[in-house]
Amino acid sequence: MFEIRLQRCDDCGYVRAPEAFACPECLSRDATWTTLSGDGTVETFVWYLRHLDPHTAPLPEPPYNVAVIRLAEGPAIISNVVGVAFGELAVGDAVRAAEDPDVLRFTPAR
Amino acid sequence: MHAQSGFARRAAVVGIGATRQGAHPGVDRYELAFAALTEALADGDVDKLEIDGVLTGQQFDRSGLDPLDVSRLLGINPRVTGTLDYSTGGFTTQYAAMLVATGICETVLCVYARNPPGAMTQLSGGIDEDRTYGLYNAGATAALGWTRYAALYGGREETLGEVAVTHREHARLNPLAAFRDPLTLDDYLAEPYSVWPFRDLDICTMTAGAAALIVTTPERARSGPHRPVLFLASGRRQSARRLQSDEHFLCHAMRDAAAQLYAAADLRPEDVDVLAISDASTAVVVQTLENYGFCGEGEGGDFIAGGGIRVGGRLPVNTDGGQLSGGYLVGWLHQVELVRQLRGEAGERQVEDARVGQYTTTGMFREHYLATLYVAD
Repeated sequence: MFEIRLQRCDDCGYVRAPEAFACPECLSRDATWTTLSGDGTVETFVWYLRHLDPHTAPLPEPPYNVAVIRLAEGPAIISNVVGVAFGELAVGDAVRAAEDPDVLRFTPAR
Repeated sequence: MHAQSGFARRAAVVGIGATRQGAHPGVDRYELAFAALTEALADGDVDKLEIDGVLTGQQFDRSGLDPLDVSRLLGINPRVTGTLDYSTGGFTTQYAAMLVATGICETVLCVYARNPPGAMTQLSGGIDEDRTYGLYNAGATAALGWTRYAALYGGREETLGEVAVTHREHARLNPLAAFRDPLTLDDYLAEPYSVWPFRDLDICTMTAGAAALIVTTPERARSGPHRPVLFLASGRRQSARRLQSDEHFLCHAMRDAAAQLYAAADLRPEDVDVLAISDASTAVVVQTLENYGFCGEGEGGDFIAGGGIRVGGRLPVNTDGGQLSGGYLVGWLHQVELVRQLRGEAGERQVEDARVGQYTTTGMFREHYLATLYVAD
């Protein structure tokens, strides 16, 4: 599983995304990089069914989805859900970080 | 209410101008701007030497106009020139109103023009948001909101189609509009999805054209040829924290802007006679109606299905065809159309007894929120 590491504030415990040198909640400069569970929920998504103009290459080959994933620890991130076909993804689906050495993506949680 | 006493009724639109919207092959954007701004000067009977502020629009790709170039074109040395980092029509005219309300300027020319490649053919919103995951196009960003909205409230694609069809009906009443061919709901539903849940018809297309407004004191505006249209209130919010903000894609930040707007004006949504929404997508019309309180949460579809947003309906929206069909000039045409409506000069698309007009917008990655209330003098 791709390891999700984000900063957890040492003072207030807020887990932040994206990376930042100060906590956006309490402004503390002290944080600890933390490995998260990899669990999340699909908050929303779209499916690109063809390339739109204009765009800059490279892009994944359609059809592909872009999803907002709400991680179990609180922050939301943009990613793709793989292993699902168009029509099989729904708001509220439970997902988990997928195997990938390079890029964080998600698969449906079993 | 005193919250915006330094702003309310302290500035007015005295002159407006706009070109035909659509394709202008080979025409320099400064020529388009010149046509719009000279029309605005004549419309308001304003002498160019009265202009002491020049504000222009530029876009995220730096396209648009340089306000110093416009000043040189006019042969004037204004007190203030400027362009905002997000210089769409609503933001720019509010800035002009602030300059006049404070007394720093007396008469501010606001002008925007563009002639992009792909006018009339290319979808708008061509910006990369996250290359790693293939998120690009501002319309796709709006679609993220519709997916969630539909899941929570049972939103129907027919509602989006009715928004598109209504905008086309309005555009057919507007001789300057870009897209005027008939469009039915069947036409809309027959189109394939492009970035699901959206079709191309849900996202506005690039067009070319220009628009200009002249903002001055109410006193100066009253000596002009038309009824002044006064700035009454501003509602603002930036959803800077984006994904981390609560219901960012459902545009709940609109609720904050709404609260500020109506409190400052001491008005309610029911008091608004005509509404202009920067409609880079169909979905934002539904979200705006609900978040600003024109109808209840989840009731936007019913409001629209009943013909509510048509000229002659409960709350006409984008009476010139908006950006979906009138022309995509990043909110500038919306200000012009509201002025026409509140002057009583909108011809066959005139909203009866239009006295209070409202403009709303959201921009880019759903970060920018603005609303303006205008009132006929």
